[in-house]
Amino acid sequence: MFKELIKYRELLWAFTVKNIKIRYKQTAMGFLWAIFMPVLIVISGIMVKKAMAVLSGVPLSASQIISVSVKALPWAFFIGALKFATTSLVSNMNLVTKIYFPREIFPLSYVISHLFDFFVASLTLAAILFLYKVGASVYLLWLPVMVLFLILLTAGFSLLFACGTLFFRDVKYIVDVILTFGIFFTPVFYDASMFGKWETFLLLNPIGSILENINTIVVLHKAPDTLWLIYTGIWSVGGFLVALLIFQNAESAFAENI
Amino acid sequence: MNAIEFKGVSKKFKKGEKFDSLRDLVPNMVKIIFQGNGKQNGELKDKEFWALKDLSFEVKKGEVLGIIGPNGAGKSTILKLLSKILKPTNGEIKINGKLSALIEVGAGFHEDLTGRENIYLNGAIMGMKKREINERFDEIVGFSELEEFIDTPVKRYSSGMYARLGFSVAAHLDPDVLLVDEVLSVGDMCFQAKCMEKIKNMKVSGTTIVFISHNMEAVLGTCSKAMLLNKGLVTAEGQTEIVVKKYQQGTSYKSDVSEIAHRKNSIVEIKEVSFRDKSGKVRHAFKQGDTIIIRATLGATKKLFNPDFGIAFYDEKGTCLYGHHSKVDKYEIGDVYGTFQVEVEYPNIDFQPGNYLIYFGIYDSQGLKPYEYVDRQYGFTVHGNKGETGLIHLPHFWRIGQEVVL
Repeated sequence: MFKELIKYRELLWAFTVKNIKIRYKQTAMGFLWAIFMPVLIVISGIMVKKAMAVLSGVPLSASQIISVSVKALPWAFFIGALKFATTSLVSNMNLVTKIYFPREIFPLSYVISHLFDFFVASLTLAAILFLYKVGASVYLLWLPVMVLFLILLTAGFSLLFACGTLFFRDVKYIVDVILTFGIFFTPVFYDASMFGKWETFLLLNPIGSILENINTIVVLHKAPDTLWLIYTGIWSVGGFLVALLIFQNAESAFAENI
Repeated sequence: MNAIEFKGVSKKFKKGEKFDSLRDLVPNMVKIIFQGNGKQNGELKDKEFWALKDLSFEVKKGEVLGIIGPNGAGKSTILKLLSKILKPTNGEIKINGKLSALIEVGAGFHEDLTGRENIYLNGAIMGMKKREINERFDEIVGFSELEEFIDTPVKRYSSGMYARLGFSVAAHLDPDVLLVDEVLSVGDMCFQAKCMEKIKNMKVSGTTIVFISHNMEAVLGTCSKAMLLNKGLVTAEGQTEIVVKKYQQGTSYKSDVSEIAHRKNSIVEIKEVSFRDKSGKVRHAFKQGDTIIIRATLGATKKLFNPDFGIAFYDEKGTCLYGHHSKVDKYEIGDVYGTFQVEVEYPNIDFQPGNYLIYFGIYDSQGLKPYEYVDRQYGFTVHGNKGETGLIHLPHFWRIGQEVVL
C-alpha cells in the first residue's frame, strides 16, 4: 500500500515544493498570503462573536477571540488543502495520461504544501499567544497527536474527492458548496457546547471534534475528551486507509476515464 | 534476457461518452472501486472496440524495436501499457529493469517555474533522484543550449526552447528501457540530429528502446527490428528494412479516422474510390511524376441536379496538399441518377515519396452542402527519389556558367 509512495517520496517532495513556489510566484505579498487567509477568517469570527455578545449582553472576552483564532488555522488548512486537492488530478490531466507514477502524489502534495502555510500561520499565532500570556500546560503534548489526526483526515478526504472528481465533475461542485458553507456546520466561530443537548450531534462531524479538542488543549488547558479523541482517531486513521485503498484500486482506470 | 515481454495482451476502449445513463453508472463505479480496472471478459459490449487484440512480442535486452503503422493502429496504446498508464484488458506484460518514457517532451513542465526549477521537477517526474540531477545538471543545460535562459520562467520560452529543455532532461535519464513516441518532430534540424545521435549512443550503451515514429528514415537508422501494426493487429514483424518496405508498399489501407464523420441515410452513396494508371489498371503505388486517375463509383437514389465534386489530397500528418472542386474548374457535371462513375486525371503527380490519403465528396449544385463524402479513407503511395525534402516535387533545371543566360 505504501511501497510505491515510499519509492517515489522524492517526487512527492518535488511536487510539494513546486506547489508552494507556484502559489507565491508573481505575488507582491509572497509568504504573507499564508497568514492573510486565516487572519480574514479570524476577523469574520470576531464579527460573529461580537454580534452574539451584543445579543446576549455578555461582553466579548479575550479568551473568545483566542479560541476563534486557534480554531481558524486548522480550519483554513482543512479547506485550503481540500480545495486544491479535489481538482489536483483533473488539472494535471496531461501528466495523468502521459507519465506513470503513483497518482496519490497529486492530492497528497497539496496537503503537504498547505501544511507549510499552516505552520507559518501557527508560528505567528503561537508568538501572539505567548505575548498575550495565554500560558502553556502539559496537555500541549496532545497537540501533535491532534495535528496528526487533522492531517490524516484532510489527506483521506483529499484522496477521495480527487478520485471522485476525476470520474464525475459533480464531486468538485459538491465539495465547493460544502467548503463554502461548512463553517456554519463546524464549531469554528462558536463552541459546540453552546448547543446544549445537540452538542454530540455537532461533534459527530470529525473536523468539528478535532477543532474542539485542539481548543480544549491550547486554550482551556485540559486533557482532550477521551471518547471524542478515540472517535476522531478512528475517523482519521481509518478514513485515510480506506480512502487510500479506494484510490489505489481505482488508479488503473484514471487515464481512460479522466 | 528479455527486457520486455507482451503475452496475449488486449486492450479495449469505448467510443463516445463514458456513462450514458445513471443506470449504468452506479454498477460501473462500484466495479471500478472494488475490482480496479482489471480483467474483464473478452467480449465487446456496445460501442466498444479493440485497440489491441491478442498481441504478443518480446524485446531482448539491448534491442531497439521500431513500431510503425497508420494512425489508430494502436502504437501509442502499446507505449501507455508499457509505462503502466493503462492496464491491459487481458494478457500479461513483463518489464525487467527501470523504465523511462519519452512520451511527450515537457509534459511535466510548469509555466511559472524557471528552466532550472523545471529541470529538477521534470527529472523527479521521470524518476531521477535529486542527487542524480545535481550530478548531471550542467550536462543537461549544456545539451539544451539554454545556458542564458535557465533562470527565466519557461512561459517566456519559445516552443522550440521548451522542447529542447524537455528532451535534454529525458535524454539524461539512465533507464534500462526507454520508450520514445514521436518526440523528434521538435526543434530545428540541428537539434533533431543531436537527439538522434543521443538515442544511438544510448543504444550502443545497451539500453533497450521501443521507438515509435512516422519518420521511416529514423526507424531505419536506429531500430534493430520492427513491427508493423494495423488496427491493433501485427501485420509484419522482423527485419527493419523488410517491415518498413512492406508498410510503404501496402498502404492502400482504409483509415479509421473518418468513420465517425461518415454520413448515413444520404440520397447518394460513394461505393468505391480507386486509383488507376494511364492504362486504367488499378494500382496503389505510383512513381513521382506518373499519371494518376481517381475513379469514384456512386449510386444515387434520387435524381441529382448538376452536383459538384470536391477532391483533396492529404499527407500522413494531415496537411492538405491540394484541393479543388469541379465547380471551380468550371466543369459542368449535369444531372445524374442511379449508378454512375466520375473520373479525374492528374497527368503529373509530383508529391514527395510517402503515403497520401484523399478526401472525396459530392455536393449540391451550389457546391455548399455535401450530400456525401469519404474523408481520408482511401490512399495511395508515391515512390521516387529520396533525399529531397518538403511536400511536393518542383520540376526544375540547373544551369551553371560565368553569366547565366536565361
